[in-house]
Amino acid sequence: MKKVIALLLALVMVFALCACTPKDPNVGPASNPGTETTPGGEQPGGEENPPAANVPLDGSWPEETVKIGVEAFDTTDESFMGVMEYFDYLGDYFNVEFIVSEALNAPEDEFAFIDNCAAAGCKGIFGYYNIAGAEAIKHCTSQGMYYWGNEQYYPDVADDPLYVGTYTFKDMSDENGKNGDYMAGYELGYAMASAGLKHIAMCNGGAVIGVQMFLDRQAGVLDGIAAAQAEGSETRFDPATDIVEGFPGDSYFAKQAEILAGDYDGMVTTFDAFTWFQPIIDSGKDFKVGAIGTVSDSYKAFVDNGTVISLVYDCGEVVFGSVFADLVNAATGHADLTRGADGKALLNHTQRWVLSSAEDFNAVYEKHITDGEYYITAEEMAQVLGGVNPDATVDDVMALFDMSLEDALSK
Amino acid sequence: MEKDLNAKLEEAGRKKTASTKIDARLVGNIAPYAGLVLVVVVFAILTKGALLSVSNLQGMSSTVILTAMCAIGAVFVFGAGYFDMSIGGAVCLAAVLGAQAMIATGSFFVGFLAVLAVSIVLALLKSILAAYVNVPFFIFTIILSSIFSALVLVLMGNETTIYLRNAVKPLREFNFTEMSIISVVVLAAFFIFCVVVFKFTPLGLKAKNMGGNIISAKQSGIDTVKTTVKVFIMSALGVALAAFLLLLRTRTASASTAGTVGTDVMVALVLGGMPLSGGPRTKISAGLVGAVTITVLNSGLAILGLTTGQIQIARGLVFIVVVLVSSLSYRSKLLPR
Repeated sequence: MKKVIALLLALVMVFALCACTPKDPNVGPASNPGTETTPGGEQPGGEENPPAANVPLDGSWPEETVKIGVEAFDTTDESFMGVMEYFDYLGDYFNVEFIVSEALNAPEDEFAFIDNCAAAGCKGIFGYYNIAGAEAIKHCTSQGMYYWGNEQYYPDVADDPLYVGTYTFKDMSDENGKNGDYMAGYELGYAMASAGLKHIAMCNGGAVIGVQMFLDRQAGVLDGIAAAQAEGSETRFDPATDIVEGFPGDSYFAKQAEILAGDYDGMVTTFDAFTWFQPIIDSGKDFKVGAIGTVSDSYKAFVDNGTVISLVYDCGEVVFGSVFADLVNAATGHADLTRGADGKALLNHTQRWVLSSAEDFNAVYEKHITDGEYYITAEEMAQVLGGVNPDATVDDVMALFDMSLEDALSK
Repeated sequence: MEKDLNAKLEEAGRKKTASTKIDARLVGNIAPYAGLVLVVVVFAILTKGALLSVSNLQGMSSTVILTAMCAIGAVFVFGAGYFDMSIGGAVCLAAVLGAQAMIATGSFFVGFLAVLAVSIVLALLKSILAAYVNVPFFIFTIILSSIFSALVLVLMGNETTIYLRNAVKPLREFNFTEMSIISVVVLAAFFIFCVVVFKFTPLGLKAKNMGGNIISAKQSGIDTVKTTVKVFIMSALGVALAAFLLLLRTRTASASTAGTVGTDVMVALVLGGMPLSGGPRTKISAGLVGAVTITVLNSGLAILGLTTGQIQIARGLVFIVVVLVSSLSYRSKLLPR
């Protein structure tokens, strides 16, 4: 009898959970967005998408919900959550929904998620994370869904009409320009070595196992420190002894303890610095930190007390705002707004912000956290959506998201 | 008079007990299939047919292959009483070495031979440890799993992902539909092969006997060493096919490849109605039914657009329901082994 009751209760819970899902009239056999709209902005049969005027920003446009799948590696990551909060905000103004993956760990998980998104009627996939590289992008577009993301694989897929773009931090005027991860490392390394510190260390994260993003950041930090030293900085750094390799674990914490007990007075990390804050407090030292992180409560106290003196920050709406514009434009019949003059997918130039003072940090903190506002509003986003603003151009799209910290703070 | 009454009461009690046991066994046997049908029907309704759309069926057929192949092969090993937690590691190692062979030669055939050879060597290693070393086998497999992962990292050096597109000769790409057809055909062939071996050769009976009680199996004249080697070879076939099809589909391999397969296989076997301790209730269908149930469940939950947390809660609850129903038929009073 107890078992029967337990089973009934479990079943009730399962059905209750399922009943909690948002009602969506569009759930049904996967409509194939690739056949509904073409990159030229035409409807099937060659009909031009009618220009819209006076579209209300109340969540009723587009008429058919645009569903977008999001590939994630850690749904509790602060940067990722910041981006998704921005998309949630936009969801109040546009009829767009996001389906977020569980933490993707393996190529087969990524393929399965893409398949599920196709079945759920998604129009596109936002590759916040990508494991299988260009293969995953091809798998997505082969099912008629648009794909956004992953600069690394841009050359392989830029000509694919269903690949709509990605961001880049590169200096577009310099053919040999370094990528955003290198530049983030460079800025951090230069800032820390120019801060009057005596001896600094570095955490290199995934560089030790060959993850390209971390290799680039590490190279940037080393060059940044070297550049500052060439300009007269007396900050000491020896790559042979001053690197904390990998991610937090036994050897990582052993090296951390060695550094905090030694003559070091600062460190630069190619990822977040959360695991350093409590040990720094415990050590009682005046120890400075430079990190790649987020504007959040986790960092605020340590920025305010002068521990964190340099923070490289990817502002969600600036760096990833073009995800929304590109995918929604493509899905609503304005895929022409996702192609450059050469016919290839857009490479949206954007900017990583280096917050090197508490004032800058707190200005962004106040905007985002205290006031709950964004540097790119829903109204501004609407201006680059072809379905809302028939006069929108590719240049408008490119310009909106190329926002420097100075531009943002002066808004 | 009193004796007659007692006799009648005892008779009635015996009948009731027998009837309850039959019902419980029947419910336990039907539960995995009922669970699968229920999951399909419920999610087909909730997703308004999206679950059973042609494209999603194709996607699910490619997704189910990894867990199903490994689980079907693992039925032999688990059925014989060996709790193998290193299956995911074996798939990963085989896939990485197979990918490297394909890249070096530009040949799928050479790649398949490499995948098969690696899987069989690993199976032989495991069977020797299982047959000759008197330590609980699952402890070995935990260690082996770590060793396999470490080997993969060493083999990959500074690379995080291996791409087949870097092969010396271009390797053919299979589109979505072709991959689905290949997956279904290979899965069906392997399933039929395993059913034949398990039901129509002595291997299945011997494995079940060993899983039931290895001492009595030995005393019955079963060569437990030979049987152990054979069951691991059967499992290796599943691992090899899974690794090869995975490479065909994703055209990549990394240290995280097949990372969750080990646990997925165990969940699939339990959902399929097979006790992980093996023995007489072992059945090949458990691997397939369980793997399909997991895949349909995951797909349905994803299509509904639930958040990560909601998906995990719903999945856990469904697992609990199926396992509870399946457990109704388990014998609760076993003789000590």
